[in-house]
Amino acid sequence: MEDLKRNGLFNLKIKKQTIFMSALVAYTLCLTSCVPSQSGGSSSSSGGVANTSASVNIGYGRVLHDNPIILSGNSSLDHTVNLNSLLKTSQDFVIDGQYLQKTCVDDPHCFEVKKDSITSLYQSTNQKWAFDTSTVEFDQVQMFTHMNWMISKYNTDLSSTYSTYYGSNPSGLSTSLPMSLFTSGSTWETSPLRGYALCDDLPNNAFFSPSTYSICLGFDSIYEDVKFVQDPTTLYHELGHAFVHNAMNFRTRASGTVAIDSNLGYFSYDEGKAINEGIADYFSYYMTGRAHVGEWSMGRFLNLSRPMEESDDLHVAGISETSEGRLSYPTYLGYDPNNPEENYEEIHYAGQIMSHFLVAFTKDLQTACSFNNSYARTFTFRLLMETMAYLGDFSSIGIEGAATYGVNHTPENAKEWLQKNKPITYRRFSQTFSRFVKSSLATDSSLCNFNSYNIQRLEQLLDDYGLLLFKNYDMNGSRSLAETIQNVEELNRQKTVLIKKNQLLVDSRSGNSKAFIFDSYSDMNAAATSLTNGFIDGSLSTTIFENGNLKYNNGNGQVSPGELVGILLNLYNNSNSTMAGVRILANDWDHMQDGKPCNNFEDNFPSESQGGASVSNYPGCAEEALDNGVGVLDSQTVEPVCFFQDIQDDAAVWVSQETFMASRAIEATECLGGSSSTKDCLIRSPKGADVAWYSRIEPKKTWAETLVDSNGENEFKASNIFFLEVSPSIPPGTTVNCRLRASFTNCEDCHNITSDDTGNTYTSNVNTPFEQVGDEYKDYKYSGADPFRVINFQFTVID
Amino acid sequence: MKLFKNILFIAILSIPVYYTVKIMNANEDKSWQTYYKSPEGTNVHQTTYKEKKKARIISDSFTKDKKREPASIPRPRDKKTNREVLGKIDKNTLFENKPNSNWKKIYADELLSKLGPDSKVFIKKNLGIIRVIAGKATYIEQVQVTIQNDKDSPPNSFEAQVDAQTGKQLSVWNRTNFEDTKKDIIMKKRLVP
Ligand SMILES: [Zn+2]
Repeated sequence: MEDLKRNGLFNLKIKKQTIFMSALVAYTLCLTSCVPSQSGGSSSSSGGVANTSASVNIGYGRVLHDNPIILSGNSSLDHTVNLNSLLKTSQDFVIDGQYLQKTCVDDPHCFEVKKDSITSLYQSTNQKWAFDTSTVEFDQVQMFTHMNWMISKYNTDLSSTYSTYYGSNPSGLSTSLPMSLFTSGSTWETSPLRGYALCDDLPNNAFFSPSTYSICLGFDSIYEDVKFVQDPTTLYHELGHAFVHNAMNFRTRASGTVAIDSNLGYFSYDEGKAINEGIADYFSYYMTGRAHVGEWSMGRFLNLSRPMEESDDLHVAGISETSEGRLSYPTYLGYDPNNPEENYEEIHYAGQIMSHFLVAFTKDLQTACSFNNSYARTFTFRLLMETMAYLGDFSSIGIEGAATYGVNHTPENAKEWLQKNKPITYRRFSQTFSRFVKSSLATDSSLCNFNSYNIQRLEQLLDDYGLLLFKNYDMNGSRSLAETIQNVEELNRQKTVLIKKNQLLVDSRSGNSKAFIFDSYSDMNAAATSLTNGFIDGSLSTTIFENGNLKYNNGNGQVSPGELVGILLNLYNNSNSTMAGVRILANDWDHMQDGKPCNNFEDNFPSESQGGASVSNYPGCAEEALDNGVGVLDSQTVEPVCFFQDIQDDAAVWVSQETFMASRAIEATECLGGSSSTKDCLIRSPKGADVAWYSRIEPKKTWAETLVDSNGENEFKASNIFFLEVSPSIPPGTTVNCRLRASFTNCEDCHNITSDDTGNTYTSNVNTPFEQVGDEYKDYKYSGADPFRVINFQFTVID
Repeated sequence: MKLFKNILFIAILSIPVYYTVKIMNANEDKSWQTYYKSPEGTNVHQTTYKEKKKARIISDSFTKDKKREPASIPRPRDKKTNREVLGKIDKNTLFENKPNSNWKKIYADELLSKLGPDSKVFIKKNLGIIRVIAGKATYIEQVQVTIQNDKDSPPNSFEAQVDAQTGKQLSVWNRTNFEDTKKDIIMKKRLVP
């Protein structure tokens, strides 16, 4: 790390793998020998360094090597501190050139730094980069230099990982890193990563934007001289998000066959986003070796810094580096060490479980493989990259050289699976991470300093964190092939609790609501704005809007014609353990046949006399659509969740929306999505607003009871509710049934094939002959009922 | 004088080249446009410097904005439209839509109709593609969008695929990841059973 900091420059132009590999060797040699020792600078009268251009050589400047709290050793450092006093006298290499920019076409190591997005690049005509720490020029040099250090380390570590698989002496182990990772430029976006050192509109805030490939750092809203850029760990966190984005798309980019990117997390709260935050924090540890992030920018005045190890002083009593004391899932999902008595549903707090696990894993590697801490961090980085390259692969392959349909179902369904049907949860991430530990360290002892790495130690550590949520390593993903399942040692599951899915119920305690319906004009207009800001894939129906506002929302707490409504399903945890990562799906699935609702699922609804389709009369009900209705692998369809009650021959029967339209003479032109969208003509859940997430539900409680504050109120994010658009054409009095699916992360029987009765009748192994008990459900199964709890939400549309 | 001749020569030569390129790039305008509401309907103009500053949009004059193209397996291009093709087009391929030069305006209208009166929508086309799934081809525009909801809050950015005929949004991803999540809270309520 110190070597990197002193050199700080790594600018390989990679055209061919061979050139790349030799350049790598040259670079590695250079790291240890090419760096001239630089010193200079005089002490100023105030005790700090006079950081002026006269005090440095061409290409050099000075930056804060860590945040002011760490550099000063003073945890209560005042905001008026003269930061010049924390600069080292030795010089830091910045860049040979007049701009803080690496102009490099076809070069993946491309980035630049400006004050903000619209100011010009700062020009240093004398190519010197020393500035007083109070200046905005210093801010830019500070950001650029730390970006350079971190991006260099990323490239070095990625290159060395790559060379173990594709170098002159390949290990022969399987990997998710694509062979064309470097030659295809897949390690980086083609546009440069843009760093904005000081964004005027980001008080107490910062962001990484994947669409513009940029990072913006803000400042303290009260002490405006406290800028986030002064704290490199905040930048490392943001760069961590950029690296997560890169890794999630290594395979997708290299494939060349997919036009959209995958994201780790999609909703305002989901476990993917929490894990993303945890990994971003870990990237600060990756750089500093210090298991705490943001002591100055977030911690000093905002009480928002985050620890990454249980021994941190910030933690409450009882948290320790023992099996009992680990920051475990799901207990600590809502834990803020700065406000331990509060109880939040927030991705950064939830992400601490991941960052703590990763730090503990790193330290365990030091013991297991006799690594030093630096190398253990690098090895953990490698496993993270592989885990994400696998999980994010929208080309559905996952492992280099393997066939398609291994991960994320099929390229056409990949986003739907990653976002909704089979998202990255604490379970799925832990399982995949472990899969790569198993296929590397535990397979080839040379990777572990010729120590034999016993996978049991990983299982036990995962269990300490409540993360031994999976039963096997899912080595081959969803591919259909004969395999021996690599099982977890069940005896290692001591702390991790798995709960049967039938313990998740709609609240049926007397006097309690089954669901809360949000339909107030102001709340739903605000929600509509939020959903239109890149949350929903399609667009909200124009039939329910007028002059930019919702037309019919009446706020009576009922579902009325023409409304946009938010539904909070009141799910109850009937078990004696905390349920976590609960998600409700209102997206299309394979539950109807020929316009009739199938009745072969656990809900046994509706009966044939009520319009249900039985397996004996509709055999298609007993087979899940093979590619979720896309039409490549079979011609089965998926259907909207909501169907309608109609009267036929004086009897109430459940029918599809299309059948109901015909029965009530509703024209296709009246449909919410226009005349070509008749299947969900009358009620639909907008794609992207068709999922609800609950971080956790305590035993014998609902989500709202779990997270209610001391004033008896609940906070709601868009991720807590799913939305329904209701057509103005629905006759009042119409009864609707939405057949939803729910799952949760620590579910015992949502993820694997069991010999137990699922309550659903499916013809087994029709198309995938190698399915076996204990195996993970293949991806196509997520078009059906088996991996889920089926929940019917019924309501009558009332004017 | 010689310099002048050279400039004149280059200028004359440039005219047909300019128009050829312009015709080739019809409906392929890849600069930023601002859409906003007015009493007469949706208005549009080339995004100004001031707006770019406010919406934190990168000014093209400073850096070459090159969007990703897969280097390992270059996607095939449709000769007629110069669009990248995802999937295979053959003589049996059914085209489900056709490009419409007005798609961006329709798309912006659609977004603005769900947003507050002071909202601005900035749209830039990144890529035109033809996506083929199960023998059915769709013309799609791939865009970068920035939405400024009000004067005070930082803008949101994302990428989207848009139907090239109807201007309907098909898919979104890559939304900005803000660290301050307090703005995600849309309601605070006491629930009464
Ligand atoms: Zn973050």
